[in-house]
Amino acid sequence: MFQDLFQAIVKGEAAQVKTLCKQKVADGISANDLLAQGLLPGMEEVGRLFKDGEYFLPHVIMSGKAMEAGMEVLRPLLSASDARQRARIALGTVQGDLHDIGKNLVGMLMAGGGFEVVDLGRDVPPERFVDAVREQGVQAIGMSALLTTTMPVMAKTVQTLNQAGLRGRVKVLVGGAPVSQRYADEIGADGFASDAPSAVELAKRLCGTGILPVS
Amino acid sequence: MPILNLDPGKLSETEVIRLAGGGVFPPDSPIQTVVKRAITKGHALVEGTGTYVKFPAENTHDGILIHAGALNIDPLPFPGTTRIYGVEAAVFFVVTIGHALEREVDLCFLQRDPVGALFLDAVGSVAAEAVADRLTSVIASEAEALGFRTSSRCSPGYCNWSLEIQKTVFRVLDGNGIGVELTDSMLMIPRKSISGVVFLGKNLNPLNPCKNCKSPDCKDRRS
Repeated sequence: MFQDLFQAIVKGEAAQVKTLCKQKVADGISANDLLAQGLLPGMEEVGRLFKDGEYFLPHVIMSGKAMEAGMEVLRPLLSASDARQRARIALGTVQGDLHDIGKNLVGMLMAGGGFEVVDLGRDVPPERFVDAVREQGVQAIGMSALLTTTMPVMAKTVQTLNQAGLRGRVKVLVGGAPVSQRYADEIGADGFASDAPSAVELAKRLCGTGILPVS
Repeated sequence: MPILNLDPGKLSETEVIRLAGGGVFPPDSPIQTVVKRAITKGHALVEGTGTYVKFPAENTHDGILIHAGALNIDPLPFPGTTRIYGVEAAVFFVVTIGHALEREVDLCFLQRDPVGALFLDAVGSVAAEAVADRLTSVIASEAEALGFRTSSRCSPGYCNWSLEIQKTVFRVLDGNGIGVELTDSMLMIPRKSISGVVFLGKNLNPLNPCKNCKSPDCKDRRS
């Protein structure tokens, strides 16, 4: 019943996913079942193919886009029935840095993975990440830096979170070309991701899956 | 300083795909279609320009001394992990493809077209490298006419060079005339710009500092 939806996600066919979701909703299948048995397993398969080296970033982005198309149909129906909250993550390219393509792709895949994404944009100072935790109740922040000169802003943000007494309330993820697991450990971040799909996997591990199907 | 308009020429599909995260896609795949479209669109948006300036230079024990008169430049460390011998001049350069392609990438994201944005951004990176190659070809031709050999280009942030060397490059290229600016965090604006140095010498050796480099971290070694 869900195989066609699963395949359309795996193949990254956004229009097909949207059509199938509409058809199946009209046939009386619940949005929750479509998500839990079609879309999410499809994205899990895409993640597996990426990890195994059979899929590459463009495939994952295409599938993420297809997931988003499906979610456009299902989201209004889910919000009425889904008792559980979606995890919220704030993403930003750190202060002094304007490279945002990686951050944008992570945001898109996070949204496809069920997270509610608060995009803080680029050139984001530590205080704005702190404000997002304090005022928007995010469970995680994801920082991106593409320059060795801007990486220290990540450490400063962790310090600022500590000083504000908020560090315990939020998971901190870091990424970007010069960033490494070692650097993440050094600055007291919770995790490092080397690419966009891994960032989603890491966020799910740290925060729990973005959208949890209602059983 | 001369200002040159530089056409990137034909942009390699393989290289665009590599920079966008890799992959092998059949010719009829939708991704291949997006790649071709991005190359066509991107090429039309590239406004390649470049400029350069040459100074006498010489080897010292631990680097390369630049004779730039009143500019009083700090010696440059050797690029890569091996020493270069026979340096007689250093050419500082900067190239850019301008702002238009970057704006289009932003627009793709706004229009919820992340795949288009991904490939168009990769086209911009390939084009910037191609424009830099064009400029270094011009530098090499001029050098050859004077009997000099030319090294491959070295850029701050690569080749074991600190990003701080950007300050030196932009000091000597001050008012570079092509509109490339350096921020306090050493970021060039427009982002698809490349700066660096090419070394010249009649007995220059090695010509490619990347060749003997053992750096495990460099993803852009051009040997």
